Amino acid sequence: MARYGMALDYKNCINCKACEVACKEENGILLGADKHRIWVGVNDIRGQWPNLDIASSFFQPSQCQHCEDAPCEEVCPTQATFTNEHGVVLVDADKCILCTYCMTACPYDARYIDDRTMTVDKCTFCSDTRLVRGEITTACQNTCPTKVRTFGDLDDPDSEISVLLRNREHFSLKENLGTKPKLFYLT
Amino acid sequence: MKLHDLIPYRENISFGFEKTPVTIVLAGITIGLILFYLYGVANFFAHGHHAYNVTREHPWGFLVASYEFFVAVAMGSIVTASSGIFFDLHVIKPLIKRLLVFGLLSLFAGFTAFLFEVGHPITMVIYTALSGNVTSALFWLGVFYPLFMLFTMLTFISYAEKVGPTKLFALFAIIFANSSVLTAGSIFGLLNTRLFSSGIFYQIEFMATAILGGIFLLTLITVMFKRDEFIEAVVALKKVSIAILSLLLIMYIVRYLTGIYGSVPGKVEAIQHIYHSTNFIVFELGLGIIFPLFVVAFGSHKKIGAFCIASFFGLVGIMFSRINLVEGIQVVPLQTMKIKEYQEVPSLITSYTPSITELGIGVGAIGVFILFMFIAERVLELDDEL
Repeated sequence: MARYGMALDYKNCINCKACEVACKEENGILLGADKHRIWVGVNDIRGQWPNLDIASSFFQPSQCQHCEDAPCEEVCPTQATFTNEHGVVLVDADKCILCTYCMTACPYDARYIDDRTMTVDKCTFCSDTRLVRGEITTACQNTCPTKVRTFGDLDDPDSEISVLLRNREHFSLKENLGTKPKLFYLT
Repeated sequence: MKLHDLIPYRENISFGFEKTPVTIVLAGITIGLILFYLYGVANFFAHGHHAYNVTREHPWGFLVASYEFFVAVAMGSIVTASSGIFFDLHVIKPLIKRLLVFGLLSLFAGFTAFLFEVGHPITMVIYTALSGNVTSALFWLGVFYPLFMLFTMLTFISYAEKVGPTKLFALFAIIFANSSVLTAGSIFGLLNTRLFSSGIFYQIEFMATAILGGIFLLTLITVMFKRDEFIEAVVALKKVSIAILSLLLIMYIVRYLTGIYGSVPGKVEAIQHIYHSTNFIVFELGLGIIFPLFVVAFGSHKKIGAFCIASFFGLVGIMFSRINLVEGIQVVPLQTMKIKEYQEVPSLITSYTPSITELGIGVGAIGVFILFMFIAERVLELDDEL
C-alpha cells in the first residue's frame, strides 16, 4: 500500500501563488482570506539597510503536513479526522461536529471551516480528485512552474520523492512536537 | 411507586416571591440576562456561527469559557454535597439537597451555552457513541458527564427519599465529578501545540476553582436569601477556601516564573500577554484570588457578610480565569510565516473580542441558571428537617 508524502524544494519558490489558485480551483475552495488549504509563507529580509541579510528572505509553501502522529486526529472526539490506508489525513464531514478542537490542536494552522458544509476542511492531497483515479499527482504540484513540489509514495524506494529524500538533506516543520510530518523541506 | 417517592416535590407549588429590594433587583437582573440570552440565540439561528467573532486562528471563543465556568460551579457544588454525605459532615447537612440540585442545574446552564458552541450537537451525540475516539479528552468528557449527572441524581433521590445505598451513590458522584473536571482541564492541558496551557496546571486549577465556585455560590445564596441555618456550614467552608486560594496564588506565581524563564518562543509571549492584561491582574488575580483571600484571612471568622461580597467577585474571577485561558492558548498564532491573502502581514498576537451574540449566550446563560434555581426552589422540597 502506498504511503504518500511531499518534498518541497522551497528555495525554488517564486511566490507566484499558482499552487494556491490551482488548489482552490480543483477542490472548489471558497474565496476569502481564511479559506485556504495551502499557502505560501514569506520570510522577509532581516536587518537594516545597508546590512541586509539577503539569504534570510525566502518563500515557504505549506499546507497540512499529513502527520503520522496527527494531533488533530488524536483530539477528534468522533473520529471524523482519520488517516486512510495511504497515510493521508482526511475529514469525514458526516462525523464532524464542528467542535474545532482539531483546529486548536493542529500545530500548523492547516484547518479551516468550510461554510457550505459547516465542517472543518483541510488538504486531502487531492485524494478525491486525483488519487482516487490512480493519478499520483496533486493540483498544487502539477501547476508549479519551478517544480517546487514532488509528490509520491514514500514506501517505494524507486519513487522520485524517495530518491530525493535519500540524496538531499531535508527538514520538517516543528519536528520537536513528535508529529512526524510527511512534508519534507529540501535544503 | 408514586412520583413523590422518587422526586421530593412540594405539595403546594407557587412561583411568587417575597418582594424585598434584593429580590426585586435580582429578578430584574435575571429577566435582563434571559432576554440577552434569547437575543443571542435568535441571532445564532439567523446567522449561525457567522454571528461569532471566532476566526481560523482563534477558533475557540467566549462560549467555551462560559461553559467551563458553569462546569466548575457544578462540580464544586456536587463534590461538597456528596462529601457531606459520604464523610458524614453534619455541618454541611442543611445544604446537601440544595447543592446537589444547583450543581446539576449549573451543568444544564453550561449546556445551554455549549449547545451553541458545537456546530452539530446531534451528530456529536450519535458519533460520540458510535465511533468515539479514546485518545480525545472531549470524548471522555462525553463519557464522564452522563455518569456524573446520573450518580448526582441517584444521590439526590436516595438522600431525599432515604432509599438505596446513598453513600455509595455519593462516592460515585464524587469520583465522576472529579473525573469530569480533570478531563475538562485536560482538554487544554493535553494541547501540546499550545504552550500556554500544555501541562498539568489547568487540571489542578480547574479542580481548585471548581470547589471554590461551589463555596462562593452557596455563600451568595445564604446571604441573599437570609438562610441563617446555613451560616455554620458556610463558616466551615470559608476556612477550606483559605487553603484553596493560597494554593492557587502560589500556582499562579510559579506559573508566571516558569512561563517567562528562558523566554521560550510561543510560551513567553502568551504568558506575558495574559499576565500583564487588565483581565488577569484586576479580575482573575485581584478580585478572584487576592480579595477573597484577604477577606477570609483578615475578616470576621464568624460573620459572612464580607465573604459574600468576596464570593461574588470570586465567581467573577473564575469566569475571567476561563476567558484568559481560552484567549491565552490562541493568542500566539501558530504560523507566523503564513501571510493572509492579499499580503496582509500576520500579527504576533491574534485578536479576539466576543461578538454581542457570544456575550448574549455566554453571559445570558447566568440568567438561565438563576431561573433554573428559582424553579427548583419552588418545585422541589430542598430543606431538610433538622
